[in-house]
Amino acid sequence: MFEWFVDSASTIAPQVNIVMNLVNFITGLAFILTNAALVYFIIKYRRRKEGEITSRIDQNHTIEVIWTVIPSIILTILFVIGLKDFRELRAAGQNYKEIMVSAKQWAWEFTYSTDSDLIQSPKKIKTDNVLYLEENERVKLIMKSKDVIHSFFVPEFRVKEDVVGNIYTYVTFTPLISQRQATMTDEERKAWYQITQDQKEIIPQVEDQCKKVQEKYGINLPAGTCGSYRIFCTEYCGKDHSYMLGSAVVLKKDQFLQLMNKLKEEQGKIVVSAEYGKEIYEIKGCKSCHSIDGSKVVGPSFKGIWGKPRKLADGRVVTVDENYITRSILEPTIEVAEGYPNIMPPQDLNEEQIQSVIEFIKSLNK
Amino acid sequence: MSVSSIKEFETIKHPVHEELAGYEGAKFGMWLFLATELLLFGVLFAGFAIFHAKYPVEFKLAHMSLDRVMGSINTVILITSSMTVALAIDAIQRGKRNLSIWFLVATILLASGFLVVKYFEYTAKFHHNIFPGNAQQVVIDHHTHQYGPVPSQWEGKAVDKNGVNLFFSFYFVMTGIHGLHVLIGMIVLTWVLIGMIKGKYTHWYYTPVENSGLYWHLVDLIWIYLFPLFYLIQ
Amino acid sequence: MAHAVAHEHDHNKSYLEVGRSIWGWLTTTDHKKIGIMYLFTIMIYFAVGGISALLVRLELIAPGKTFFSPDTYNVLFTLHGAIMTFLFIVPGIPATLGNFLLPLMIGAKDVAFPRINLASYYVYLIGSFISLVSLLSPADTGWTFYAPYSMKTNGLVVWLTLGAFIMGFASILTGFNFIVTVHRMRAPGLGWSNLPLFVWALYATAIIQLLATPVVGMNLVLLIFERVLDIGIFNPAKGGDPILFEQFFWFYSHPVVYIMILPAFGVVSEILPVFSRRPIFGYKAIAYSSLAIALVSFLVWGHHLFVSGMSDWARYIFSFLTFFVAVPTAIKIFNWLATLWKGSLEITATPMYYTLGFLFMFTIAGLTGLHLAVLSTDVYLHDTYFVVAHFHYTMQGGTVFALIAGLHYWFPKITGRWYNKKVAFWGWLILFVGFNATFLPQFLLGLEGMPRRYFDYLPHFQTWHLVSTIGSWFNGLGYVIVLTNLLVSAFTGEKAEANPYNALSLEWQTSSPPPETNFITTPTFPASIYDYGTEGKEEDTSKTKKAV
Repeated sequence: MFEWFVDSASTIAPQVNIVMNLVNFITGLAFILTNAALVYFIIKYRRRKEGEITSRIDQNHTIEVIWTVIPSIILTILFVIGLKDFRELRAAGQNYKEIMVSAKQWAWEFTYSTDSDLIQSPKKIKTDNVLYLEENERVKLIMKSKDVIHSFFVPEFRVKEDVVGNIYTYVTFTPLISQRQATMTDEERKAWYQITQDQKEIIPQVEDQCKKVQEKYGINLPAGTCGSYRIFCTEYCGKDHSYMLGSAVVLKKDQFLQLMNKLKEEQGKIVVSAEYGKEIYEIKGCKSCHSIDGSKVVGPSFKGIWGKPRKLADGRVVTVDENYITRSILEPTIEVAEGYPNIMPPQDLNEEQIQSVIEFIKSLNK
Repeated sequence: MSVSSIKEFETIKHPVHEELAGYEGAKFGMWLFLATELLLFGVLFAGFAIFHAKYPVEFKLAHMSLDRVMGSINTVILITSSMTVALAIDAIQRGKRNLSIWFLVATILLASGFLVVKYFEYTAKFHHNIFPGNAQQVVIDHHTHQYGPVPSQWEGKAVDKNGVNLFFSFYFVMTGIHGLHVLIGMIVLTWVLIGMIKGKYTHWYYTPVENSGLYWHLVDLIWIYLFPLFYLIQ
Repeated sequence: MAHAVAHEHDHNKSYLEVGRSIWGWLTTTDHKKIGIMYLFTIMIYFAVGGISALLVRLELIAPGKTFFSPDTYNVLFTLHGAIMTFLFIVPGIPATLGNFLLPLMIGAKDVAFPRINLASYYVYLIGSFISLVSLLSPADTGWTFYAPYSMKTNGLVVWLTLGAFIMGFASILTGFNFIVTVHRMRAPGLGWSNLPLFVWALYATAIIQLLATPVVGMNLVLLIFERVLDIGIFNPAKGGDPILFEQFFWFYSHPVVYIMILPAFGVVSEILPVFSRRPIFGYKAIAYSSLAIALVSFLVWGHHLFVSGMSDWARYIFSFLTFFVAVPTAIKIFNWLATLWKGSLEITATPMYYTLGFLFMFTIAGLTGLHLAVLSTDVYLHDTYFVVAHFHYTMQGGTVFALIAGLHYWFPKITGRWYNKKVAFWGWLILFVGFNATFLPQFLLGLEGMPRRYFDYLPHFQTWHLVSTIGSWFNGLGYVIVLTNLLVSAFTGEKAEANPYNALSLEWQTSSPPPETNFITTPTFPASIYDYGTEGKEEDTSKTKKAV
């Protein structure tokens, strides 16, 4: 029954489905019984004339004990059942791959490790907003936030955990390609991944990523080798909370390895360019606060600013050059533009990324 | 309107008056209110305990910056003031209005003494660049009481500036809110004093005096916990 | 020989006829007038909170930007939550019906501390104004103010939280006032085992108000210090712990939901016996379960933190305790059903059909709580629309419907008049259908995985959002009809008698409306104020209890 609402795409999902169905069944039964009694009493005992005889019985120890004990037993059983599957949800087990998840307003960044050390190194493969997973391989996502509290949720995997700034939190699961994803027709895929025109600009990462992988990396994905599920942020985090979405893409082993190789290649030869800068602008959350058409959103627009003087909140005037942009990305609170709020969080971009953003901003002068 | 006994007073059929609840009721109400104050400060004590556990080294280092002498003076002041307010209540219970007035005055003066000492403590901190949320310095030597910037190591252990900062945040917030309660207590006691001077309280009606005394004892009690926690614990 | 002198307090005049000027009302210490002032004020805020809800739902009628920007939407849901929680539902039944009825029900002339009662109203009022100053640059934090977002965001968060802090004081003042009243002001002969269940409910609620409120008060003060002084306690960048804010916040905010629902349960326990002509079944069980719920409510706050990063063991313990608190609540439902059994149900009476509707909605509310108590299902449902639906069923389907049921039931007592019964019925019907149409689909959205507090959503969620928005229009329309009926009838309704229901509890043994000092002569108590059953009685004793 719960299966009607959402796909099952992890090894724990069928168990959670059973528990959900059980809870639905028990509560449904309780609902029906109590309300049937309610309706029955309303009909049977409705007042037909004045002065009717009514019972004076106002207690009955036997019945009261029964209706205390039986619900207590049922509730204890429910607790135990819920607990069992929960412990499995939280147990990573012995063999798992770690993936670092970094959440920030309003984007996700994933760092893949080929072994189990956690150290962030520029050599590790990173992806933004789209998480690539190998089917049937257990993973543990180790998560931390760069700013406010976020929450990582993929309904089809049945996992969710808040992502906070002071400690690492985790979710662990073994992803699968769900039945439905394996058998959807092209028509059905189109309908499921359908989003509005505006959404296509804001959250392209929730479109059919299986298709994207095929198109962008030329990897052949026959039916049943790829499933693409939505990632939601489920802890209110500000303006673009509802746009902090991603996709979790589950691939069969072969296809997954092909993709990882392609990503390694691609990221190995990052070329500093305005196009890459534009990509950064879009996927790292910059566009939520800075426009490129001159309009004021939260922070200053990037249009036509390169090389021009800018007045700061403390009265100084600086030129918008490489240094200014670099400082504004890494330590934005030091030089706040006049008339704008001092709320930009520092961004964790590497050298190539910053240079590309600079190229992109330059290109907006035209 | 005059009455000649507590009983008659409590059964006066005046439509609406605090005395509806009677002396016992008013005291009961006060105790209930004091319970809320305990919970209010309880949050702060819980928070302090949690961060003390997280930053044991930093809290130990930072607490050396607190002046035990001033802290002790304040403790003596408050305990004495609890005594004087109790004596004020005792005096009015025995009908000795003038004596009660003097004890109330003494309590209020002692309370202002507390606040004066607090003022000196806080300004000393500010002088040494220690502000709530931004503690730049700390005592780095027990013996010389020399202030210096927060060190990165102390007694062989790493020091996290955040931990030092959090200690002082708790210090200022907890002693500050306590100080606010001292001020409130002073205002309440002054109001009672004025009533006492005007002759409102007698040996059979002194409920507000007693309840204010209760409040003052709570303020003292909270300090009794604050003082060792911040100034004494090693 | 005494001359006839105009007596300062004419005990035969109703309370409405004394002190009629505005100044008379504003400086009154009469608990009845204070209750009415609270009622007017919370209802105005209910309207404001309700309009913001309608606007929230309006935006969600279709995916994408429909009418508002994301920032405006975030402000709207914050306003809705903050106003409804702090300005409406926390004072809610205790400050309105509770204030009016508590002394009447125990045979007292007023509460223990009438001037503190008036003070609580002004503290509440001032607190509400302070929180509304934030509208100048509204907060967008959600009513839960989670750090670090609430520390950094623009907007007058400090004003909003300061207002909430001050209103918390009003809650505390009411709390200890009611406790002392119940302990010390009962008329001679009224023992604890004969107290009306509404009084038990108010008493249990007052305990929670007293003990839980200071915790959120201090939490909000710490948040204010974070914003103003940057103290760092909740700031991960300064070594602080944002989850600590959540722990302190929910330590209050879980018990607060019992502040909201316990008085509602009390209202139900008063109405059902009268309109079933049956004694309340399981008086002791209902009374003690109210206390049990109050106590256990302090032990379950962690269930709001099941996916917060808290330790796993803490999650097991809180889940277990959460099931524990479900048992007394279930027992109450069974007791109420048993009260209907072999009764003579006046189902066309307005308070009765409201209450029967409450039973339907509260079973949904309570049972869906189980999905959230079970750890493995909560992981999925947490922070989705399932939770939103659950708490609206408890707060609106539960508390608000009970408040309105109580307003109708005690309307003759409070105003001395009747409301228009036909309008009342149609209002209820539209309200009932509208409410269920708004929130039932939200359970489905939750099961589909639709997250909360989302300005925009993926198109496949649209169907149920559309139904819910349309439902909200009927929900709103229902309130307009119901509340207008009550307001207009308060001035123009036909006169009502002192005890139109032949009810046994004390408030009905005095005139409608009551005199200023409630009772002209000290009331005496029947053996049981729930002795409505007629079987085996020679004479229906409830019929003989006519008003003075």
